[in-house]
Amino acid sequence: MTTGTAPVAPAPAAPLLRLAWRNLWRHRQRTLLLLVVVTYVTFLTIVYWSFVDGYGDSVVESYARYIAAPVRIAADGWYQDPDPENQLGDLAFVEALLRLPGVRAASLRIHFPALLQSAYVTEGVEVVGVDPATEPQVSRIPAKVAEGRWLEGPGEVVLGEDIARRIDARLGERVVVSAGSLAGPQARGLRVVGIARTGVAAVDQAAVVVHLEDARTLTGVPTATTVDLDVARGTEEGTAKRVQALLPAGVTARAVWDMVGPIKADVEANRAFAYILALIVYVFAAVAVASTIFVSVMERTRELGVISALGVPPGRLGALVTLEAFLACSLGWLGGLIIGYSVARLLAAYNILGPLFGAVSAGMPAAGLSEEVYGAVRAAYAGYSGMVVAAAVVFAALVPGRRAARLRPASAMRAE
Amino acid sequence: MEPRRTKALALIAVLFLSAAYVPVAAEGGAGPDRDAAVVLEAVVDNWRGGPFVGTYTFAVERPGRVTEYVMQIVTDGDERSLIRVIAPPREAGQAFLMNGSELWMYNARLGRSLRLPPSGRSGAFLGSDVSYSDLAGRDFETDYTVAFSSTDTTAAEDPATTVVLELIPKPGAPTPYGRVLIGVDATSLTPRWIDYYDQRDQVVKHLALSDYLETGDRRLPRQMVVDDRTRGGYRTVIRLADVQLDAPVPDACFTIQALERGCL
Amino acid sequence: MWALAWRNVWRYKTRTLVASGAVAVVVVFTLVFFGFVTATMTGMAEVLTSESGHLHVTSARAKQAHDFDARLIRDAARVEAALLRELPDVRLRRVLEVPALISGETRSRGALVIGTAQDDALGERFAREHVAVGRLPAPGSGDEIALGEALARALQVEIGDPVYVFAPGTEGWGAAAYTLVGLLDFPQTSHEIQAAYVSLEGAQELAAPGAVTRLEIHLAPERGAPTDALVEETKARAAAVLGPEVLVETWRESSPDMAALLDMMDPVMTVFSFFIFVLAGLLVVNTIYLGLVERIREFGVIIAVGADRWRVMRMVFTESLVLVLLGTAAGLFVGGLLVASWADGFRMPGFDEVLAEYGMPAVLYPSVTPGQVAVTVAFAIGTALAAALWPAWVAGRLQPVEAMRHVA
Repeated sequence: MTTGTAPVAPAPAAPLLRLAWRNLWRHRQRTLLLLVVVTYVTFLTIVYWSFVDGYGDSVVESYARYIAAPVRIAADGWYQDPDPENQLGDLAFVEALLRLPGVRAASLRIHFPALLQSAYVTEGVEVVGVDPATEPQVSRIPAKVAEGRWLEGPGEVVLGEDIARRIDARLGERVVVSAGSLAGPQARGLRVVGIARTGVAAVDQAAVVVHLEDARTLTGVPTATTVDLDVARGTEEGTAKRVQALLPAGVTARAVWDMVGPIKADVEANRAFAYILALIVYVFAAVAVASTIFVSVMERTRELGVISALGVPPGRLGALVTLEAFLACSLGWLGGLIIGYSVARLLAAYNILGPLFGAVSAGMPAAGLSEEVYGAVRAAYAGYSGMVVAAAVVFAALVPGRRAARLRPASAMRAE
Repeated sequence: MEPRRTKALALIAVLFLSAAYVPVAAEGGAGPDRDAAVVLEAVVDNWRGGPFVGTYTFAVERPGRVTEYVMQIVTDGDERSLIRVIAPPREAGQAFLMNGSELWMYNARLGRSLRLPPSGRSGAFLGSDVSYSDLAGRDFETDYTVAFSSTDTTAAEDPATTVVLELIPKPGAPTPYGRVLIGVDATSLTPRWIDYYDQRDQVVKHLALSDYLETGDRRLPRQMVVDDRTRGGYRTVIRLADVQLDAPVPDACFTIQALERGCL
Repeated sequence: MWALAWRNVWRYKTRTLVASGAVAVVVVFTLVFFGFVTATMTGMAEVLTSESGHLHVTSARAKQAHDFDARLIRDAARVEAALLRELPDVRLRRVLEVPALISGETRSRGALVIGTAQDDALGERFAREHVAVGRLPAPGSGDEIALGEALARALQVEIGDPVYVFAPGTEGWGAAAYTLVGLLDFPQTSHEIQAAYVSLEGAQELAAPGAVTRLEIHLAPERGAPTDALVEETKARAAAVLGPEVLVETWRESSPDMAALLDMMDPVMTVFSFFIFVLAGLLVVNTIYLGLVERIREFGVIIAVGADRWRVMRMVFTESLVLVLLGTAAGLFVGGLLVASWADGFRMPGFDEVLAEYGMPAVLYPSVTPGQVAVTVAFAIGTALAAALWPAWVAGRLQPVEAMRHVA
C-alpha cells in the first residue's frame, strides 16, 4: 500500500507484458476493484443464461417425464391422430433398442380415450396403460403417488389428485373405465390404489393410469401405441436419431422437444423476453466495466506522466495501459468463469431453484413446471460473457489508452 | 385429451345406446321362496319385457324446464333394435339402429346414415338421467352377487308383499356402485324400485318402475322414473305406450335400409 | 462548506463528470431495466389474455353440472345488452360450444363445435394466428366450417369437402351439413384434434337458439394489458348488473395455469433486480471510490495542516452529495425521458415479425412506478456516498505522512 509512488523506469527492452503485469500488482486495490467488476459481470452473464436456459429445459424435462417421454416411438399416423387404431404393428424392434447405448429403458404404453365413471360423475378422459415395472424408469409419476401406492397388477388404477377429487373417487374405491375397443365397447371396474400429486397440472388434473393388460383388453390393441424411452437429459435428439435406424418403416422416434407443442410457445416467449432484458444487462455491464477501467486510468494520469517523462514513447504507454486493462479483465473473466460455471453446475446438479421458486410462488406447479428446476450449463455462456467484457475493454481502454498515448509529461505530472 | 371431447362422445353414444332397450321374455311365474339368483333372473326378465313394438315418451326434467321426446321402438327382444324420433319436430326423423355393439344413426335433414364410434355404457342419454344399463342388458346377473337383503331398508313397505334383493358387485365388475337394492313384488316378481348406492352407502340414483303391462306370462313396465339423488331437480320420466307384444318383428327392421326408410 | 464543495466539484472537472456520470448511468439503466421488467410482465399478460379475453361470463350452473344444458346462457342477447350498457367500451366474443359428432364422407369423430361471433379486431387476430389454409367461416354463415388441421386429417377431408355435424338431444336442429372452408392450426394438439369452428348463428341453429356458453370480455385499454385492479373492478361492475344467473370470472380465475405462469415472473424479476443492483453498486463504488482514492494524499495534507478527520469527512460528504445529486438529477431526467418516450409503445425495429412468430406483442409498454424511482434514487445516493466516505475515513485513520504517500 505504502510503497513508493515512483514507478520503476522500464528498460526499453523489458517486455511490455511483464511491466503491465507488475503494474497490476502494484495497484492492488484498483486492480481488485476491476477484477471484481469483471468477475461479477461474467458470473452474472453465466448465471443469467444458466437460469433462463435451465428454466426452459426444466419445462421441457418436466414435459418429458410427466406427459410424454424423453424419446417416444410411435407409428407416423399416431402422431397425426393419437387414436388406438394407429397402434404399433409389432414390437419386435424393442429388443434391439434396449441394446443401443444411451437407451436406458423402454416402457410400452397404450394411450386411449375413455370414460371414467364414479357413482356420481362420468368424465371423458385420456387413459394411459403402462407396464408398472418399466414405467418408473421413464416417468416420474410412479414416484409421485402421494396416497396409496403405484400400480402392481391388473384391475388397478392410479388417478391424478384433481381428477380424483373431481369425480369424487377415494382410495380403495372402484371406478369404471369404459372405452371403445377395436372389437366393440369394453368396460372394466378398477380399484383406485394410488393418487398422484405431481405438481404438474396436466397430470394432477387428468392422469388416469392403468395396467397395460387392462388397456389391451379395453382397446383391443395387442401391442402398444407408443414405446417410450428413458435416455439421459440432453441426449434426446441424438438418441432419437440413432433409434430411428432400427425402426421399421412407418414408425418414427421423436425427441421430447419435437413433442412439446403446447408449451413450446411459452418457452420461446420467455426466451424472447430474456433476450430483451439480457441486452439491457449487457450494456449496463459493459458500462460498469468500462467506467472502472476509465477511472483507474484517469487516476493514474500523474503516474503515467512520470513514466512518459522517463522516456517511454507515447505509443508504448498507450499499449501499456491497454494491456494492463486487458490483463486485469482477462483475470477477472477467468475468475468469473470459474465462479459462474461452478454455480451453474451446482444449479444443474442439485434442485436448488425449484424449492426457491416453490417458496415464493405457490402457483409454480400449475404453470406446467414440476418442483424441479435445474440450471443449464452451456459452453456458449463463456462466449457471451467474453463478448461483454471484450466490448467493455475495447470501449474503455482505447480511450484512456489513447489519452495516455497523447500525454504531455509536464502537464500530466501537474494534473490532480 | 380434452375431457370435453370424450364427453361429446359419451353424450352421443349413450343416446344411441338407448336403442338397446331390449326386453327379454319372462319365463313363467315364480314364487317368493325361490333362490335369490332365480328371483333376480325373473326380475330382470320382467324389467326387460321381451320383443315388442311401442312408443316411448321421455320427459327430461331439469330445474325450471322439461324437455319431451317421443320415439317409436321396434325390438327383436335380443340385441337388435330400431328407434325413430317422432317429436319434437326438430328432432323428428332421426333414427337409431343398434345391432349388437354396432351403432348407426340416420338424420333425415341431412339424408345421411352414420356409423358411430363405440363408447361406454354410462352417461346421460339425450341429456337425460337415464343410462344404457338402466335401459338394456343383464348387468345385474353378470356383474353382481345377489342375496336376499337381511336389513329392511324401506320401512314403508310391507315385508309380506315386497322382497328386497341385495346386489354386491363382483370383484372387477364394471360398475361404480357399492351395492344395489331392488324392491321386488313378492307375487309377480316385478321390480318396483331400484336403489343404487355409492361405495359410501349413500343412495345416488333411484329408479321407480310401475304400470306393468301383463299379457300371458310376459310383464313389461310402462313407466320408469329415474331420480338423480346427487343433484336436486334432475329427473327423467319414461313412459311406454301403444305396446304391441305380438307384432311381427322382421329381420329387415335391423338394416341400414330400415334405418333410413323405416320397416313397419 | 457548500461553497468549498462546489469549488472542488468544478476543480476536478473530469472526475466530476465521470463520478456523476456513473451515478447518472446507474439511475438511467435501473429505470430502463425496471421499465422493461414492467413491459415484460404486461407483455406476457397481453400474450396470455389476447385470445381468451380478460373476463369470462358463463352460466352459474356450469360449475356443478357438466351437461350441455347446464352450461347454456339462454338469453344471451339480454345478458349481452346489460353488459354493454354497463361497459360500453369493451370488445366481446360470444362463444357457443357444442359437444358433437362430426363426420366426413368416411370417418367420424367426437368433436367440439365452437360457434363464435366477435368484434372485427378479435376476429382478425384469431384468423391471423390460427388460420393455416383457407379462411374462417363468414360471420352469420350457416353452412361454412373450419376444422383443426389434425381433426381434418383424422376425418380425411379437404377444403371444399362436405362435413356433417350431429348434436342430437340438443335444442336446435341437432344435425347440419357444412362446407369446409378453412384449416386451423393450434399450438395444443388436444384442441386441434377436436376443434370445429362455425359462426355463432350456425352453432345456435344447430344446438341452442339464442344461447351461448361463454361471453369473453376483452377490455380495451389504451396500451398493453389492463391492470389486475382494472380487471377486478370491471368484474365487480359486470357481476353487479348481470345477476346470479351467470358467473363472471377474471382470466386469472378461469385459467389459473396462465395466471401462475405470470405470477412466477415476479420472483424471477426480483432476483434479476437484485443482480442489477449489485452491478449498479459496483459501478458507482468503483468510479467514486477510485476517483477519491487518489485524493487520500490531498486529505493527508489537509489533516496535516490541522483539520480533523470529521472535517475532512464532512467535506467529502458534501462534495460527493453535490456530485451524486447532479448525477441523479441527470439520470432521472434522461431515464425519465427514455421511459416516457417509450411509454406509448416501444418497438424493436425489424423485430415485429420475430416477436409475432413467438406470439409476443410487437409493441412493449415500459413504465416505472414511483416506488421503483424512489428505490433507484435511494440506492444510487446511498452507495455513492458510502463509496465516497470510505477514502476520507481511511485518510483520517492514516498518519498524514502515510496518507500523503498513499497509493491505490
